[in-house]
Parts: sequence; structure tokens; C-alpha cells
Amino acid sequence: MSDPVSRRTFVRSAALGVASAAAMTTIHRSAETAPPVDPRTTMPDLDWQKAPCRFCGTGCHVLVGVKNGKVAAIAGDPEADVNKGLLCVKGYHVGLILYGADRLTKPLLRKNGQLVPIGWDEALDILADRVMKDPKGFAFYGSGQWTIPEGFAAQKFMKGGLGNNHIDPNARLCMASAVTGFLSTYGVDEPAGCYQDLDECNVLILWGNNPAEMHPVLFSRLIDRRSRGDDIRLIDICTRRTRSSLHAQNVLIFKPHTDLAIANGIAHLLLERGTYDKEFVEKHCAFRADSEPRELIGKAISFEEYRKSLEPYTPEHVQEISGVPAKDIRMLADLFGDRSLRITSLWCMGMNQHTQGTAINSLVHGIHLLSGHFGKPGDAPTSLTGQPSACGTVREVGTLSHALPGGREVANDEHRKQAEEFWKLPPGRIQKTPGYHTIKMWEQFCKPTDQGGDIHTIWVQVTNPGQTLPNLNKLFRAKEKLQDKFLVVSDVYPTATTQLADMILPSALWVEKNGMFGNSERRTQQWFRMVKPPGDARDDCWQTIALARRLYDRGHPGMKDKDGNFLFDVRDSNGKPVPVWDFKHYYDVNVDKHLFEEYRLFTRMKHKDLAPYDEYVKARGLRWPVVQQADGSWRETRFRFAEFDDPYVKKGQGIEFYHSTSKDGRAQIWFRPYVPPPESPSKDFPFWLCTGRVLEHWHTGTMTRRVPQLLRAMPEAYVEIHPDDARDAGIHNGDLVKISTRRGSIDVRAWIGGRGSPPRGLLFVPFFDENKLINLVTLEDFDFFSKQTDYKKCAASIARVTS
Amino acid sequence: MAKPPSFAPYPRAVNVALAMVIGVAVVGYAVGIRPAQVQAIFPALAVSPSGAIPGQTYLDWRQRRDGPNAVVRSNLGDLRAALPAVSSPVVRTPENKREALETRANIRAYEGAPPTIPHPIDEQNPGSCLACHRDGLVVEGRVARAISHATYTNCTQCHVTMEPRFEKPPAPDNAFVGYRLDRKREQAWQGAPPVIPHSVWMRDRCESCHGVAGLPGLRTTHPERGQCTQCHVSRTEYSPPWAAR
Repeated sequence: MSDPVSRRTFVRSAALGVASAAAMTTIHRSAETAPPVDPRTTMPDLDWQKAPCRFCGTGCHVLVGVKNGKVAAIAGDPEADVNKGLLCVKGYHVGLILYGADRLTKPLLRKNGQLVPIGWDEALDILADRVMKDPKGFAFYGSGQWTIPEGFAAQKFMKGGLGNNHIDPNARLCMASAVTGFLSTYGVDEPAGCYQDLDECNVLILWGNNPAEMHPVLFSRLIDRRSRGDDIRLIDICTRRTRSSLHAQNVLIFKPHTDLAIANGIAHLLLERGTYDKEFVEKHCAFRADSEPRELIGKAISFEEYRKSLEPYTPEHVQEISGVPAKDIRMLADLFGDRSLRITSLWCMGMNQHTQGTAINSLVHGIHLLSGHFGKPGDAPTSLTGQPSACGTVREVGTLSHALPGGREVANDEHRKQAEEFWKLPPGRIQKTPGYHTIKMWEQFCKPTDQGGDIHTIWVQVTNPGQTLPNLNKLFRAKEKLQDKFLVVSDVYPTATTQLADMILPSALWVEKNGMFGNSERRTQQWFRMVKPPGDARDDCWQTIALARRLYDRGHPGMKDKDGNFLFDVRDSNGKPVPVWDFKHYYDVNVDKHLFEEYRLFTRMKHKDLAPYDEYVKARGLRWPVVQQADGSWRETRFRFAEFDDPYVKKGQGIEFYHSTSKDGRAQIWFRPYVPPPESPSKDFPFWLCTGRVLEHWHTGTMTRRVPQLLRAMPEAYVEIHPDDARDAGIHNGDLVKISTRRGSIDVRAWIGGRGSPPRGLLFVPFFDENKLINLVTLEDFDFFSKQTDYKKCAASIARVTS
Repeated sequence: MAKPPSFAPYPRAVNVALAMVIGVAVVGYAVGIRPAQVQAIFPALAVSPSGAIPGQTYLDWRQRRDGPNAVVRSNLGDLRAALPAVSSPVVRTPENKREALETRANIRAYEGAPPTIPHPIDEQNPGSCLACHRDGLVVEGRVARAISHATYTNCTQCHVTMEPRFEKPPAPDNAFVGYRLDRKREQAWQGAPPVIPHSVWMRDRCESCHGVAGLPGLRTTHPERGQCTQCHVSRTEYSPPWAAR
């Protein structure tokens, strides 16, 4: 009884109960709460326009109020289906990110260690020189913050222009395993359901996910149903308690990496008890396991083989591996075995940043398929994204080293041919061999040229690898000593990446440019430029086109299509070419619209049909496939593969997986064994180290740390540690401690009883703080299929810093 | 004449004996359970090889904040000051109105931004906000305003504290100029009920700012009337969600 944790937990849950009860008692007032008010009517002297929020993958729409050419207010967009007028604290303050005092306003070149301002002409010449010297050793590194047209331009420039596949995004480190999970299960990427699942489920399972902080608007969308009287069972399967756990009825804390065993344990019980959905499985599913050699689509296995493989995963055995009590594994199996429930699973980085990321993704899809909790509103396995256009740009436009737009692959002859046709390129322009994925790209960049480091120049847009790459000493900092390597960074503020940049290009940010994003529920969104960028800052998309033009002028053959026209030939309504590479003329036409209409050609093959640009101007985003109706209107799709909503499902099928890897309309239920992690705590490094985000800061904090309200609320990185571990190590709250791994060490303060509560043996450090780079110590091992690294677990030690 | 003692002393002795038995029982019970209680508060004091008992660290107090204090823990209800009477006079001056509006503006980035939290919070229990803010209360001259909306239960999604755990960082240099409402009083004629100058969305409890515990410059002169929107309308036009634009 003296266990402080259990008592504290009790006190906390009692308080929460009181709070919830309090909330419940007030529902009678709130039941009649007025619908969200349109700020355009209350603040009519501002010029209001819609835009998706700049931050996470939720894809809330905001209304941006502009006065005298500056953003002066933000409101949740009452017309937006995603957020219905509500935002989170980052969204409410998104307008402030434009006005940090240290915005980059001029191109800067490092001369003798000093950054000196130069003109755009000189900057583009320097960049063109680097490419012309050796086009094959040039690489482009972007992110899920590229707008769709920006990503499309970068993709076309690299693969269609330079014939060089070394283009990859930071999203490789963010959701590549979600992609391989979807591909190996359904044969096509991205979730089948949508956010409506959150309105209709009665059980929500969080798999290593903390939406209360990371996707707060979605979490509220679910949790607020309780105040309206809905009965929702929330189950948090996690490695540490978070703000999301506080709302959960069941918090199942597992030993890091053992989620595979939990998933297998559920599947095992569904089979053993016969509570799986026999009809669904017989009609719509097939079984798979790893092939030899390992390939993404694996090999077919029989139901019997599947059953046999699962046999060892008894609840007791799973308890032994994972630390989750056998009764809780049975409880999960009870829920999945109950067809009267609507069960939604949510996950994000916990499952994706995992050296078995593809495996755990496919296992969770598998449980939903096996139990038939699929294809009805509220019954869905749903992966969330952390960046505003991880789906729209990276996954759909395919800005990955192996991909082409619309779900195509460079290694596929037919796909390359189609891309060359759409782009009007001479046959053979696009190269067959995939380029370097993120880790390999930076490894080759940070390796001396004479030792085989064949990437000499990297151009970084819209991301901050100097803070987010794992094992920074090896994959980023090592560049500093290599004189012949050249790093170009387009950004809006000085960052950990610009610290080592040889040239910095100032970029336009968010509503300083036109843009389009694609969020986690397949929703493509559009906005217009509302304010001017500061100084000489310019659109990233323009920067790419201007470099292409510079190369065209110097006679690079790849910058012409097969008719001899410039790769980015943009014409006005009279058919006259517009010199968009000259920034004075960039907004003479809508370049976004031009690029988007070209991109649309690619989207039909995988049934990810997009509507014409102008439809997105009118809407608060549309979820693909967007299919034209007999009356000429465009209809979005909420539930894919389900006959009642998806027009591509054949009549009478009910459910049809029309991109099935087994070519028979079936989804694949995978068996994947639990395998131990590449690095586990040991005598010298006795702790697990987990990293992640916090509510107030988005990713590396380059934008949110410039917002006074957000910085003050969360000023610096810290380490969460269990009170008993702290006591054993002589660490007091607020002490400076050193966290070390085999790769390096950093000093942070200990925060006991802070934002989250790790169990004994686990440390948590957020990665937003550029002054405390936790990625100096993280692991660069990656998933075999997706090449995504694991930021959630490595072995670490902790010690008080004595001054 | 002294009567021989009758039955009276006997029952008294019985009473005394009974009282002693009960007393011993109570004390014994209390003593009997005390170790458990003590242990709950100070579990297993480890004795070092030298025989010294290590001191308790502040860390231990942190995790037992309900421990030793549990017996003397105050009841929030007892500390709560009485709200000013509904009939208490309202003094409105241009100065206190300006002061109130400045206070209001200082805790938000622009009109419509969620106000920030001016005190430290319990990071691990966002729901505890409602303990004070559900109905609002006044303690020691500080006012916890009643939450002005109710459907949203994840308070810290929108409201963040300006008093973080460790020292405050210098504010970043940011040139954003937040929109401020034009607060010119809008009324049809002298004496007409003034129009509400701000959006009323998520502000459906007028009394949380304008009630008796409100800042003097924002208080209503007639808090006894509960049906504010009977007379005061928002500047907002009626715009149902289904209205086509």
C-alpha cells in the first residue's frame, strides 16, 4: 500500500473522475452551445482567408485575418470538417511564426567561416556550378512540409530533369513504415477510413500514441463526445503514461519494442476462441509471411500455417515478453472478438519509428481484418501523420528515392514509361535504380569523397536535418571537416542545419506563398498567398524552378522536354510562355495550379483521383478519390474499399481491396514474429531512452520557439525519469543530468512528475530544443523494408552533472 | 445522615472501567494502525551501514505531497472567500475599464486567441483545472474565473501556462501585432443596451468575466439579471453553419 505510484495514480484518477463528473454536469448548458461563429462577421475590418494550419498532419483549417499586409488574427475555421472551428494552442498562434525577429531575408554565403549576404543571381549560379560539376553527386532533401506543388517540382527536377533519384524527405524518418505497412497489407498506401471514425467508434485503442499532445484536435473530437453522454472506452497501449493516458480506462504499459508480441497475442486468442470474423476473413483476406529473400509483399501462407505460427503467443507468454498482464491481453481479445463494438486503432510515431515498423503496422491492420473491425464507420486501423503534407506530398507525389508520382516506382519499367509520357520526356530519362534513402544519403555526404562518399552537395528545403537525423555526430556533424562537401539550406529561420550550411537561401513561409497540403485522412487542401514574404525571401518552388532554368541556360540537356521546351514551361491563358523563373513574374500566373493540373494525370492509376485545382479553392479540402458525378460535380470518398461509399468497389462486393497484392481483391493478414530490438539496456547503459514531441512545439521548434506564448509555456528540453530511478541515481527535480549512449551524450534537466510518467527503467526526452540536441545520442538502425529509423528506443545511462 | 453507598458507585466504576476499555481500545486501535499510516507516508527508512538514518530528500516530499499534509490539508471550500454580494455597488471608471481591458489583452496574443494560464499547473492532470474553474472562486483575493465554455474537456489543448517548471526564458523577439477589437461602445441611443463587442463563441457564460467576481472595469451593473442575451446582442450576424456562402 505504500507504493507511491499506485496511490498517486489513484489520486489522479479520482481527481479526473471528479473533473469528468464536473464536465458532465455542465452539459446541459453546453448542449445548446452556439455553432462556431465566423470571425469574418465579428472582425469585419480584417481580410479573412482560409488556409490549412502549418503544423501537424491533422490538417485543421484556420481563417487568417490580415490587416495592413500583416497577419493580425487567427480563428478556427467554422466551415472545416476536420476541426469544426476548434484549434490547438499551436494553431491559435500559427500567425506569429511569420514575425520572429531573426527571419532570414537575404541569401547568405559562407566565406572564410562568415556568412555574408549575396544576391539571388549569385546564389543560383553557385548552386548551378555545384550541380554541373557532377549532377550524379547532387542530392535533394525535403520533407512532408513541402507543399504538393513544391514536392512535385522537386521530384520532376530531380528524376525527370537531372535523371538523378537522390531525392528523399525527412518523412522517411516519420512514416515510411506506415507506407510499407499499408502496401504489404492492402497493396496501396494510406488509410481506408477517415476522422469520422473518431465520431463513431466506441472503443479507441492508442498504440504508442499520445494524441492529447500531438493531435489535440482529433483527441478532443473523440474525448468531447463523453461530455455529450457517449460511452467511449479508451485504451492506451504505451511505454509511458502521457496526457492521453489520463483519459483512458486502461493504460497498458509494455516493455519497449514488444508491441509485436501484444498484437500476436490478440490474434492468437481470436483464433483459439474462434471469435475472429470467419465470414470476413473467408471473403476478403489471405495470409502472408516473410519470404526468403525478404520482399515487401512476402509469400502466401495457409490459414493453418498462420494459426500454427501464432500458437506460442499465449497470453502468459505475451505477458512474459511485454510485461502486459495476461488478463489485459484477454481483455483486448474480448473487445476485438465482439462484433457489436466499433473499434478504431490510432498510431503514429510509436509504431512507425521502430526497427520492426513494417511488421507492427501490418500486424495491427491484421487484427482489424481478422476480427472484421474494418470498413464500417468507427471500425478502422488508422495511422496518423506528423507533418502537414506527409501524405499529400511525400506519399502521393512520391518524393522518395524509390518512388514516382501516384504510387509508382522507379524500378518498374511501365511506371517510368508512364511518368516520361506525362512529363513529355524522351524515353529513358528516368533512371531505374532507386537513389539513396535518407540515412544512406547523409552517410554518403558525411563520408570523405576518397572513401566513397559520393554525395558532394545536398540541397535541403523545408526541414531541419541538423536536429532531426539520428546519431547527429555521424550523420550530420561529420560534414564540418569535409572541405569539398557543400550544404545548401533553404529556410525561414537560422536552425541547427544552417549552422553548418555553406549557403542559406531565405524562403517564403506558409501564407506568404500559394500552397496545397494533403492531411492524414486523404484530404487535399489549398490556400492562396495572403501576405508578402520579408526582404528577399522567396517561394521554395520558385527556387527549384529558377535553378532548373539556370541549368537550362547552361545547356543541361535534362532541363528540356522531348519537344525542346523548358521542363517547367508555364503558359498564360493566351498560350504565351511566362518567365516564372524570374521572381517578378512568378505570380503573373498561378504556378501551383499549373503544376497541380500536371500532377493530376498521375493520380488515377492507384485510384487516388484528384479534382481540378479550382474545386479545392472552393472546398475546405476534399478526400480522394474525388470522382466526377453525372451532373459534373465532384464527390469525395470517406471510406475506401467499402461499397457504400467507395465508387471503385464493384457492386455486390461489400468490401473490395482493389489493389490487392494477391490480385484477388483480398487484403493480407500477416504473421510477423516478435524479434528482439537491435539495442537493449545493458550494464553500462541500463535505461531505455525514448524521444518525442510536446504539445507546444512542433517538430524542431524552429517556428514555435519564436512564439512567446509557446516558448514560455515550454522553454527547454528535459528528461522524464521515474522517481525511484531518480532517487537511486541521486537526482533531484531540476538537476542537470548527463544522458549518454554509445553515440554521445547531452546535458538536460531532470523533470520528475513532469509532463509524462515513465515506468522504472525508461527515460523520455523531447527533441524540440536546438540547444539540447537529443539526436546526438539516438540510434540510426532502421527497418529492413521502410528504411525508417527508431527514435523511440536505445540504451542510455543517466548521471547527475556535478559542477 | 450519610447513607451507605447504594448502587451508584458501582455503576460509576463500571462506567469508568468501560470508559477505560473503550479508551484502550481506541488508543490501541489508533496505535495499531499508526505504523501502517506512518509506513504509507515514510516507507521503509533505509538505515545505512553506519547506522545513520538518511534524511528525506525533497524528491520524496514531491511524490508524497498528499502524505504528511493529508491530516492538515485544507479544504478548498473553507478557504474560499465569499463572492461579493450581487447587490454590491459597481464602480466603473474609465481607468478601471482600461486596466481591465489591458489585463485581458495581456494574456492573449490577439482577439480570439485562447488566454494563457497565469499560474503553474499540474502537468499530469489537466482535468484538475475544473476543480477551481468549473464554477469559479475567489481565494485570497485571487480570482479563478469560471470556464466560459463547457464542451471541451482537454483544457491544455488550447491553454498553456506562462509559469513553466524551471526558470522563464527570455521572450523571443517577435514582431507580430495582434488584432485588438475596436471597443467603441455601440448602442442605438443613449440608454439602449450596448451591443456585445466580441464574438460570443465559446463564451456562453457571460458572468465568468462580467459577473460579481469579474474585474471591476468589466463588471455588469446588474448582475442579478441572468439572461444577458435577452437585451444584449452580439455584433456577430446570425450565421448558421448550413448557410451557403
